[in-house]
Amino acid sequence: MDEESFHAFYEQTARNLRAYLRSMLTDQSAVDDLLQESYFRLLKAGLPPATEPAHQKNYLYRIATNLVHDQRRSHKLEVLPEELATPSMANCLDQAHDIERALDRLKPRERDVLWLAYVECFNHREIAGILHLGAASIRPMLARARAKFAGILRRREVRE
Amino acid sequence: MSDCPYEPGIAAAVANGSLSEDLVLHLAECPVCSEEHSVARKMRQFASGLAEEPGPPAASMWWRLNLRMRRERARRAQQPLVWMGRIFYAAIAVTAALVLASIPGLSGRTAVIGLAALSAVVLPVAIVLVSWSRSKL
Repeated sequence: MDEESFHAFYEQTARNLRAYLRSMLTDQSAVDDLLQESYFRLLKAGLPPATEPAHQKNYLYRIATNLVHDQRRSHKLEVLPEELATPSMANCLDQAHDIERALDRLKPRERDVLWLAYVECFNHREIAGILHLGAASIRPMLARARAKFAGILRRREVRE
Repeated sequence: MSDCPYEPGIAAAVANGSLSEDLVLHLAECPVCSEEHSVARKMRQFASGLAEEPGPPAASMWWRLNLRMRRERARRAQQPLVWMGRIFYAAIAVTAALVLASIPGLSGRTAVIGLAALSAVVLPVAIVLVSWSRSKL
């Protein structure tokens, strides 16, 4: 990948990938390191220049997801503690805060699936490739994660 | 989980921000699709909030990655030289041991002292050689 095509690809993917890492990682100080590591591994993989951007993006998310899983394993923490939340996250609108709380109550795999399906709009086959799961398991997993997430949000709304 | 034909297209419709009239009518009737639409909308809303904070600029990222790639290439290239240095030192040590052992009438203690003296000369030479080969990369 030459400099020009890297710039174009980075501009297209970096913001969302960083948001994905911020939402998935318990250790917020590692976000930019993992962002850099994801692009580094992508470049190191030396995909042919003719590779479609969609495939490159898919590959990038696969790398980032593997890094997030490694990070989770090393931290053994699944819920973002209050003190680790960055000031910008803490100052978010109430609704964003509710969504963040609801996401925190999901299993990491469920968070992954919701993000990849609804933010990145990857199809089930692509999600399966990124998460190293069988394609057939994505649909029920997504349905379960969605129902759980919606249920948590509903309960919060009722309480308030 | 349902087999609703509208379900697979909802995430894309939310992402594009264009819900067809058909879909809007369907969402009012189908609780599964309505839930999917609501979750997709909330997830995207949350993601766009997180994505507002700018990350490192592309130029600085490219520079850092290039630096890492160069270091990685240099590390890989010098790997054989590092091994050559190790093998060189081991070969010298073995040869010295053999030479000392083959000298007739030399006591065990003298042989050990001779080997240690030889190592004291060869080790710095090996270190200098390895550092020199690294500095050339």
